[in-house]
Amino acid sequence: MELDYIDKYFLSVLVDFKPNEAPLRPEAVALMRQRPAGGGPMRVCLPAGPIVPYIPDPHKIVQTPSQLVIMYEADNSHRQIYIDGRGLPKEIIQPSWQGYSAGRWDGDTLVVETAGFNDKTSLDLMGHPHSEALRVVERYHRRDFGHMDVEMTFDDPQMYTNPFTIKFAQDLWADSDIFEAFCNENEKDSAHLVQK
Amino acid sequence: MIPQQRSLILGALFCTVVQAQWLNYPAPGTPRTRDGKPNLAAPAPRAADGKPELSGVWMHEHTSLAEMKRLFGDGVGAVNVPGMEVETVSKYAVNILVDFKPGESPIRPEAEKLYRQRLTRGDTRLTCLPVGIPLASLLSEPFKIIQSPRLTAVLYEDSHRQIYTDGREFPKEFAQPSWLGYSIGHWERDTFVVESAGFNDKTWLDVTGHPHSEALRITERYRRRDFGHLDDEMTLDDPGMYTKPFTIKVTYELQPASDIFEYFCDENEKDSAHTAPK
Repeated sequence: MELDYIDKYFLSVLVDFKPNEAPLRPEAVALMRQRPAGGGPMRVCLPAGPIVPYIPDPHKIVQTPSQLVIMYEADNSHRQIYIDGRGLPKEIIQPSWQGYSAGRWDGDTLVVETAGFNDKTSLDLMGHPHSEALRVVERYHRRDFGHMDVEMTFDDPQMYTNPFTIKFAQDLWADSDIFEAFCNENEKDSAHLVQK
Repeated sequence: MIPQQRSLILGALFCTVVQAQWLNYPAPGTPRTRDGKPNLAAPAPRAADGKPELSGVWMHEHTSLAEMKRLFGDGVGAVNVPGMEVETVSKYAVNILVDFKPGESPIRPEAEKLYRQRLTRGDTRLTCLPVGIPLASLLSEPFKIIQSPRLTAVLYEDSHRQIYTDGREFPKEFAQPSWLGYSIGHWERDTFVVESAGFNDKTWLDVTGHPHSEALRITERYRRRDFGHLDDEMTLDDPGMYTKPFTIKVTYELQPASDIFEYFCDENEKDSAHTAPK
């Protein structure tokens, strides 16, 4: 997990904004001051939430006509993206760590909308927060065999004055695979932390 | 061990979990009876490549409470967690050797010794580690199969497993034994045969603690009998722990218009402070 292996957005999702131009609402700033920086729930073996596309771990996509599954190494977790024509549910009864994702094809681009996140995760290691109102739109375009261009737009009116978009690319790891990484196998952090 | 003690242990083992379901979503392509209900007796569907389509949300057939009491004593189920009642787990999740008569069990003395040591301890779930195969599909939660031509993914609520169907063999050597093992599958007519190896020896074969070694090999034979039923014949072979391979048969029922939910054990983990160090 060397630093050069980490996406800049994983450190700060607002890194593209000049100082004082970040669309942070005061509520978000207040929350950041309360929360310790450095990974939040991930430190105690809980998931990364909406930011899984740019955490420094490989993931694996399995695609079928009706859905995609994205498999992660961390705790063998996975995320489902339905592409069978359903939209997002009108109401999400129980917010979840990974939200509810529905996708559709726009030409050769897969557009994934996600809502229904809980508010326990942050958007980066700096601790930029989000509320349960967060909606994320991801646009995946496989530029060539080895490269996936990703565009992510975050819209959370409770925490940010405007939606904002980040762009990054994912490299295919040919002839490789993901492995298991069960965080609890050697979890040493929680004893030294004040709170979960 | 007397059944009453066993049931208390069982009760303690069912870690509390918040179960919830997504809104009912009637999946397109589900055959329906005249009254609009899913027709679970309709023929099994086929995938685009002509193989039987195993994709779907599945849950093992429940064993009745009366049968569980007959097998494990009246005390079984004395401690029940809503949603995880004893009759929601498979009898094989309680005792993988339940089909054997006393005295005919293939358990070796080394395994028996480990089993007895474990009776007073909790399994890997107490520290939020995975339960492994085969237990993951025999507890109170459904699982989901996503079949694609070269890879079948099995999603559990707290983990997943990959089954390679691209023609590869097992690696010659498993440099690092793993919790879920390494699985390769092939088709024998309409039966999906999955072989798994490369397990670590940390998981238990059932919640009472039947052990296995790193030499464990599992062969599963899946056959989708009809739209709503998936038969699974599972043979476990671990010569270091058991004198001969043994086979369990489980039928999974399709859960139409349902789905698995996410389950992150660490969200409300309260056990480890009260149990021995990891």
